[in-house]
Amino acid sequence: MKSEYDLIVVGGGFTGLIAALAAAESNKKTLLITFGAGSLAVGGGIVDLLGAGENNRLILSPFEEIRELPENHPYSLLGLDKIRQALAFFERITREGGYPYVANGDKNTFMVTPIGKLKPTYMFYEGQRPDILKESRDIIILGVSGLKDFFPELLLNGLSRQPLFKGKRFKVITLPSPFRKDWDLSAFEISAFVTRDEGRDWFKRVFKDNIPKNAAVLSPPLLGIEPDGSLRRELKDSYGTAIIETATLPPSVLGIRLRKLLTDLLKAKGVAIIEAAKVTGNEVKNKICSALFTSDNKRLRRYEAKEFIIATGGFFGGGAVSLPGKAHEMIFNIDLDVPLFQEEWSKNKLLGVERHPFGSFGVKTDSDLRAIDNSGEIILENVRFAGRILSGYDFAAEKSGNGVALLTAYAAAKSLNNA
Amino acid sequence: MKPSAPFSNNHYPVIIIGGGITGIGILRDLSMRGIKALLVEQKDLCTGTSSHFHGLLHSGARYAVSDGEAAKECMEENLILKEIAPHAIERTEGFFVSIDGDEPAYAEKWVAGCAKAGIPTARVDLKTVVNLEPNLRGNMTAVYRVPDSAVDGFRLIWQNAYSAQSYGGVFRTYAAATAIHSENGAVTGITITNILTGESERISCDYLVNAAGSWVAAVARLADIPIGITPDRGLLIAFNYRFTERVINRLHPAGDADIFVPHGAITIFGTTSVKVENPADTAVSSKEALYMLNIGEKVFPELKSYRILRGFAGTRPLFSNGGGRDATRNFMVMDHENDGLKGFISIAGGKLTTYRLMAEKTSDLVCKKMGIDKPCRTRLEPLVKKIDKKVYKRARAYFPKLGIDLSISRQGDNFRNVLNRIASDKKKSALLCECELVTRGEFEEVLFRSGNYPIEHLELTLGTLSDVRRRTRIGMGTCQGNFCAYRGVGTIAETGGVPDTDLSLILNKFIEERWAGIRPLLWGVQLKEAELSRGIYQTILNSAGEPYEE
Ligand SMILES: Cc1cc2nc3c(=O)[nH]c(=O)nc-3n(C[C@H](O)[C@H](O)[C@H](O)COP(=O)(O)OP(=O)(O)OC[C@H]3O[C@@H](n4cnc5c(N)ncnc54)[C@H](O)[C@@H]3O)c2cc1C
Ligand SMILES: Cc1cc2nc3c(=O)[nH]c(=O)nc-3n(C[C@H](O)[C@H](O)[C@H](O)COP(=O)(O)OP(=O)(O)OC[C@H]3O[C@@H](n4cnc5c(N)ncnc54)[C@H](O)[C@@H]3O)c2cc1C
Repeated sequence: MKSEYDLIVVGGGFTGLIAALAAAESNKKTLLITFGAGSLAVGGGIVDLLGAGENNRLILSPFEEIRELPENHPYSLLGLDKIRQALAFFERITREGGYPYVANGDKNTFMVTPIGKLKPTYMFYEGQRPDILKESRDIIILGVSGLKDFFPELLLNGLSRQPLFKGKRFKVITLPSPFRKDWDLSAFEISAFVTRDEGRDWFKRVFKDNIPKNAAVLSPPLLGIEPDGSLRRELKDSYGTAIIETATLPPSVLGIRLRKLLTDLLKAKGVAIIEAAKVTGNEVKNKICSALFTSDNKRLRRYEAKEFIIATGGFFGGGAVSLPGKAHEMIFNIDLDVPLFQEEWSKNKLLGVERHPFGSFGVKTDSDLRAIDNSGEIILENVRFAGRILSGYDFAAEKSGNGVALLTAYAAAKSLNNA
Repeated sequence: MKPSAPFSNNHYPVIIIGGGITGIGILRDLSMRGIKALLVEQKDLCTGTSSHFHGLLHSGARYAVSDGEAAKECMEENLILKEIAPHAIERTEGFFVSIDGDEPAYAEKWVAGCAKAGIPTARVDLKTVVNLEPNLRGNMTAVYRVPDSAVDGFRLIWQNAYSAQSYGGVFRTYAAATAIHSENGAVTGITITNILTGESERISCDYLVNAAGSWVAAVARLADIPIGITPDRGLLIAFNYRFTERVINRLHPAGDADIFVPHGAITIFGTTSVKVENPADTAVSSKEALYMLNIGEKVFPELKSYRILRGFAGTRPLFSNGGGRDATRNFMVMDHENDGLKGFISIAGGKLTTYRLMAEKTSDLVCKKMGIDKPCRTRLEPLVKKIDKKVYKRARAYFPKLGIDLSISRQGDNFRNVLNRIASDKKKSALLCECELVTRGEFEEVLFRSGNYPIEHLELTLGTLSDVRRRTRIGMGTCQGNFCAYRGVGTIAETGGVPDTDLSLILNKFIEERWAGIRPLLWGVQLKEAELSRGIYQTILNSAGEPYEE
């Protein structure tokens, strides 16, 4: 049997996009099938590697702590070398894409969140390097009149409590709305406007009129939805002003920018992408998958490939579903190992230090990312799983989401036959 | 009649204990009769059973066989409330559904019982039923139409409270009655304790009304008077889907998990009956929820696939001589003069549907004791005064029509203030909560009016957002607070309130309160949403993150 594709990747979240990119580099004829944008559309657009340990202990040096993780953690399964390779890969492709992601050596970097908390992350777009906030005595917190999901005063309320920011002078500056209405505006709306010439001119003008020179500015993400640092550079060159954009509540401009960067790269590499299609069936014989089915508008389509990477995400992404006392992976119906009693799925506090068991529900795999059953037997020979669909880690508690996604996507692509 | 001490902040002719629908109903009734009264509530208004129930405005049909008297009272009050509380009621009508296996003889008895109680019923042919309620399947054998409706406890309580205020009624929240004082066999006052600060004060009164719902026996015990009442807990499940346009009851002797009530975009399903020790025991167990879902899917086969918003439980006071659901739901006004304490009255039992009647009977007794001859007027005057056409027209410039109606239903006459806030700053017309169409103007109006803001005590401040939730319904819809809680604290920050408070604590507290209702039902879409909430709160905001020091 001759398949049209070497590889089908299912899922167009961060994991699926990275897997498809890495596979395309190994000259695999790749097809990406996805239903939606996944958590990229809501996430922070940065790569957390390992930011918190047990009891929510802050981690400064992630590489040291990775060694201490339990053996079923995806980082332990794949090892430090692979992690370094995956990070280097990401660093290279984002540089090639013109929107380079960087890290602060082996250390975590602390990003200011919209409520003025600090969040440990590892890689971020280079223009977002927060060092300037440390160096500058004066910090401007920017708002826009009528922006509904960003409150500079709330950010200030949190940030002024941070020991690292003691002695700083904060100032809230609210820019006028770019539109006739100044209520119910979203950062995405404004950013989309700033992406156009007219909007870019508006931003430069109000910026010049309102922001002192050489300032350090914390801002909601307003600098456009393209992965393009030119406006930021222009403002830096003209006024000496550094702008650090914070994440926001969904929809996430920073995540959408990262998604654009990766999909542009994929298109440049000629990878076929089918969007708004849901994989609903499979063809498996003797532990070998030969094809997947999608159904849209009630029409069934069949896609053949030699190998598959499943990057369908967790419960949020739709890769796994649950019922009382049980849960399963969606495409191959693989049962997930979950407690029978619902009370054992979670802890009393959603945001407490105790880890929620459900946070790490997922598919168990061998070190080749192939699903295994409880006795360790491989379930499917030519199907690999990557990203949030995997078990053994908790992206929210650990602050490791895109780190695990990157590593497992890269590793899955590199362990394909003849990759 | 006792000589009345001069009126002051420390003396009221009448004090009412309990800020549920019964107590607030009495406050309005007495206030409308010109009697100065103070109501004290240990938490916030509407935190007891009056917000932990189905929200069914009974036609009485449910009691047509078991308790004809209660059925009749319900029907009468149902009609009165539709007149005086249109802003708290959705006139849905109801279906009583019997399915394969139900006793056919019961239906006959029921039809006769309804007729006797004055409850109109009409048989609906099954084809029509399927057209009207496409999700209602299962093996139906007979369906009857009754004048059941949906009623919102929060709105009903706040509308009563605002109306009472306009007649001079006073209420205090976070004020628990912790002692009852008497002299020579007559009540002289109570001690109230602020449950957040622990501070106590004494207030004197001539008459004391105990309307503490499931806590009625505990309050009577403060005066060493035993009342034979035990709490009994019932579970409710709120779905994020209006899967029925009508109230659905099973046509059988009242049992578990046989009521469905649509409210706006959601549906509430209940209930169970479990004896508990403590009226505050409103624990939700997964097992009980699954038990209910298994029964419920007999009439709504897709029930388990609908997204659940949360589970919550309320307790009912049951007279200990009877047990569980068989005990009468009729109420009892107790004059404790018979127990040796003059001026002390307890009211117990009943239903939310009959609160007005209960308040009337209780207030009648108070008046009789005071020697005051003033008739009850609560049935004559709507809770919310008719909003002027001009005001309405002005509002149309800023609101969609539905938004105006919803805001009036929550804020009553205070809607004018909401409108003024928005008219003076159009930004305030932005929606803080899309699910319930709550504007920033309304949020701020409630925040500033609620009287507990700004405040010195951190613990007090922490309650702020939930207090606002009960008055506006933010955080009760689809997003379960993910967005509106953030916008709420953002608005508090922007308006310059509580500058010394770490606002992330308020935010987290709100999110945790919502979580408590989701946790026992954590599967399906609820789990998916929980993963999103964790992404937002633990990853994007890091809202429980400790400060970082180098
Ligand atoms: C709100 C939020 C904020 C976050 N913020 C950060 C952050 O700041 N930093 C960080 O490092 N991590 C963050 N994360 C975590 C991180 O985004 C993800 O865990 C990580 O990217 C893994 O994503 P994934 O691609 O495996 O899954 P997902 O992003 O869920 O993507 C799965 C994709 O598969 C598709 N799919 C599912 N089933 C099918 C099917 N049957 N057929 C076709 N397509 C299908 C989905 O539509 C979706 O596009 C955040 C997560 C959330 C939810
Ligand atoms: C599961 C369930 C479902 C129900 N469904 C319906 C329905 O669909 N339709 C219907 O009509 N009825 C229904 N009911 C009945 C109805 O909810 C109650 O009859 C009604 O809400 C009781 O109101 P209340 O004011 O007496 O009690 P509550 O609302 O409980 O008010 C009593 C208040 O007293 C306060 N308190 C207690 N002790 C003190 C103290 N020491 N000092 C100060 N304050 C104190 C409490 O905090 C509480 O707020 C249901 C009941 C249950 C349990």
